[in-house]
Amino acid sequence: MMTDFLFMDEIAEFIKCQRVPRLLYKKGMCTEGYFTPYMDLSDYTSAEFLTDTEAEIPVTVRFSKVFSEYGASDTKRDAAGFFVRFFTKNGRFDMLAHSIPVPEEIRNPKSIIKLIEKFRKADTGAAPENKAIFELAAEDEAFVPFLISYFSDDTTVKSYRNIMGYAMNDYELVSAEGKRSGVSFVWRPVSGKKNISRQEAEFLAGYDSDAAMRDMADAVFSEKYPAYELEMTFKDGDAMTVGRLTVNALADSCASEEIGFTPVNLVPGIELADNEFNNFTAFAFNESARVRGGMR
Amino acid sequence: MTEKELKATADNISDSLFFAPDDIRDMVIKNIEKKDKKLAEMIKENIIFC
Repeated sequence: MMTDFLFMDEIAEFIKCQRVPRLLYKKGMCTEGYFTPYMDLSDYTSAEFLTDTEAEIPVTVRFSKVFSEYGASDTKRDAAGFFVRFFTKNGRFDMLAHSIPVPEEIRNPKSIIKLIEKFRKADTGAAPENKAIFELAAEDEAFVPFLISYFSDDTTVKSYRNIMGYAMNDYELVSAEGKRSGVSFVWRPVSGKKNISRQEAEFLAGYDSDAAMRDMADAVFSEKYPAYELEMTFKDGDAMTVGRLTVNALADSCASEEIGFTPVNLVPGIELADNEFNNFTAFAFNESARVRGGMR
Repeated sequence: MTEKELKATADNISDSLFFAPDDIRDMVIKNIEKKDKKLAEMIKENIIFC
């Protein structure tokens, strides 16, 4: 009979960490840091993270691969997920971004589901994802822009410090007076965007399969904190850099598994633009977080 | 996309597409051609010399 209750607590805690696996974004790491707005945008929004220039808003950031399984190499050809949760005075705001943009041609629920299903079924044979994307692009030219992005060197990276983050959703800023402005966001790494060739990616896959996660951890431990600037673009094309995100700590691995980012985590002053793609992602991510054990 | 990026993309696509079944390969190139003629030409050239 087990009488070591402290050890039993430890086992219980360990089991609690074993959650339903994510459908996508499996292999990843959670980090922590803060966001500082560069300017007061209260003419456009009442959201704290875009107005209070004195604030250092705590954030949790999860970097991941999109389609790859848990044991995959970080340099395997795949887009990266770049999810940021802002802990503002008025609640949580999640911004979900990817290292390559979601092409306009497939920004609809049917295409996204088709893409995910194809990648999930392609689980045998050599380079299965490549086969999946070729089959999709052969039967429907709408997938060609995704194929071109997917096969660019932007999907082979060895460091999360140097990836872009194209916000998946577009938003409407709402000012205190009720004025609405349509915007989109992009994270730009302060140290510049960098990627690697297929040949280097193949070498690193065998040499150091956790290259990107290790690189991020090394940067944080050596206090060379990775930073990203947030660029906001209005519908008329005007763009401005509105703030800076600094990553200065690693979260524990249990937190990384538990956290469920969802576009419905919004704060007063910023809303999802009303379109089919946003409605779909809001439902899908929310449902996924719920299935995995509730919203955290 | 810069010339260097375009070339890298063409090389990456060709290296994998070379192993795809003939009908898939032809259809993919045909569809790429509709979006980006230059890229499609580079892929065709690469595959010929593979």
